[in-house]
Amino acid sequence: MRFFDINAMIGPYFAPRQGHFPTVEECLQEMDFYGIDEAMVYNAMACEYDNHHGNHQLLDWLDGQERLHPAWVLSVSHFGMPSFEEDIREATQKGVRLVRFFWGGLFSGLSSLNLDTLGDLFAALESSRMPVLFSNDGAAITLGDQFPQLMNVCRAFPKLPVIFAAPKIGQDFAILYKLFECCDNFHLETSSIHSNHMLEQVVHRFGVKHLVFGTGFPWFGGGQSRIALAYADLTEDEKETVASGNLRKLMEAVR
Amino acid sequence: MTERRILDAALLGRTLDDEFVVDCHGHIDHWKLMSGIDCDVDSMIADMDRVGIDVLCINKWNCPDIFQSNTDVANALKKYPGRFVAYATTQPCLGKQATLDELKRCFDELGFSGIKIHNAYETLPMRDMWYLPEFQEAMDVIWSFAADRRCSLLCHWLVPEEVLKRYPEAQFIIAHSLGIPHYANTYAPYPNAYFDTAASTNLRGNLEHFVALVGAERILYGSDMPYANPAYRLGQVVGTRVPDADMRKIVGGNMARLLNLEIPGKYR
Repeated sequence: MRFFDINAMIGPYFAPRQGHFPTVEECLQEMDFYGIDEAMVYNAMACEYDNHHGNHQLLDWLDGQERLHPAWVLSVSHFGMPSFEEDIREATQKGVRLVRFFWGGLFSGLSSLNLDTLGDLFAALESSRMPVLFSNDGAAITLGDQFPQLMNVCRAFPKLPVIFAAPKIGQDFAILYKLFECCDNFHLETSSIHSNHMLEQVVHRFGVKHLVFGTGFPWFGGGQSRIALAYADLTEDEKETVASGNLRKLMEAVR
Repeated sequence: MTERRILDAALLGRTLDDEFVVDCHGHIDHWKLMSGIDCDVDSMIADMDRVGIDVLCINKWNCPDIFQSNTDVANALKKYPGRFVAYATTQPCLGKQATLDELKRCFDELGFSGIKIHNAYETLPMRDMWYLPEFQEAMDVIWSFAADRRCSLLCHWLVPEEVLKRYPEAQFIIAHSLGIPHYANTYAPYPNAYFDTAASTNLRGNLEHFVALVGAERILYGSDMPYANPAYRLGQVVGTRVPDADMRKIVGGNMARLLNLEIPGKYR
């Protein structure tokens, strides 16, 4: 079974966990430790300081790396700037197959998914079928507030593949399940799921297409996501689809 | 190279048949609240068997009637002998006599082995409760009882350090503590403090940090099942750089020692 991690970060970031920054080499070592074949990585600099610089620095770092794929970080500063369509075009041309937004991030975070302000950006992303990963970095933001906003985006842009990652999803499962029910284009990254039987619930009730394997490296190790999926009461085909198939399909649809 | 047989088995989803696994933190409750799946004792056993958990330490805490809760736990012990170890749920605001009577019922009549104390019943963090006279008497009963019986207390959350000093015969398991690295420093000086891995904020490197500071002998695998997926929580523990010799202590050996459980011959 091949594993493809959608949620990994490299480069200098604030408050590094273990006194150093994860490099390309460390990320690859971590992947080897857990038997993860490929990963979609973003540069912390693009999230915490400067999108443009961080995104292009990432391309340099990943040059020649076959197992690591670049994810670009976009921020609300793109609103009103005439360049975002060019950014998306450039990203697509340079092999970027995922863009990310950070909800509540210190410098480049979203405070809300207001379609009046962000609609043009999402429309441009939708037209290129570029997968968009929203991740929850802000302690002040509750999932109960975020899920209705995600539903608005998914409904307004039904061809836009939307992925969500959060450190912990528990009591909010009811509205999460509504998202799966209403929105074919909504996906959940698996390191978010620590509730018992939720992996199986999502697959059996809403379909295997909604889950995408991720680790949350370097905040989390790869063990929890890998081992949760290994023990899940799913068929081998379903596990493989979550482990790598769904992400690969999303990447191939980018145009 | 560090031995990692346990990790390799878990990465393949193999039941950990070669390891004695004791989960120090579980519940029997209606947990539809968390994933939409209802759990009963039978489904919990199935979950334990899937991963290879031999023994699960349980209590029932989310029902406000603690007397009924403890009776329900006793029924689980009877239904699956040897698979569960029971913590008595306490509610100090009921006062010292009711607290003592319930602890005696649980230990002397129902076969319980430990005590669970949870601040959800009290509206205050345990550290603050300790300083309120109306709680202090009942809590003194709990600490004294645990010391007399030489038993473990699963404490959600912080236990005042003076309690750890005053009752060295009791073993205090600091629930969810692997998620908060500075607890290793706070509680390291007290040999009767133990650290539970059941934490959603159990980040990469936390387990190695605790092992370095307090040693593997004081860390206990806990899942918080059925709320949390025991496999996910196992992944946070065995999916680390801690070698197998220490990992065996963490996933079962340490809790077996605290509970005086005999490790079955096939695991030795």
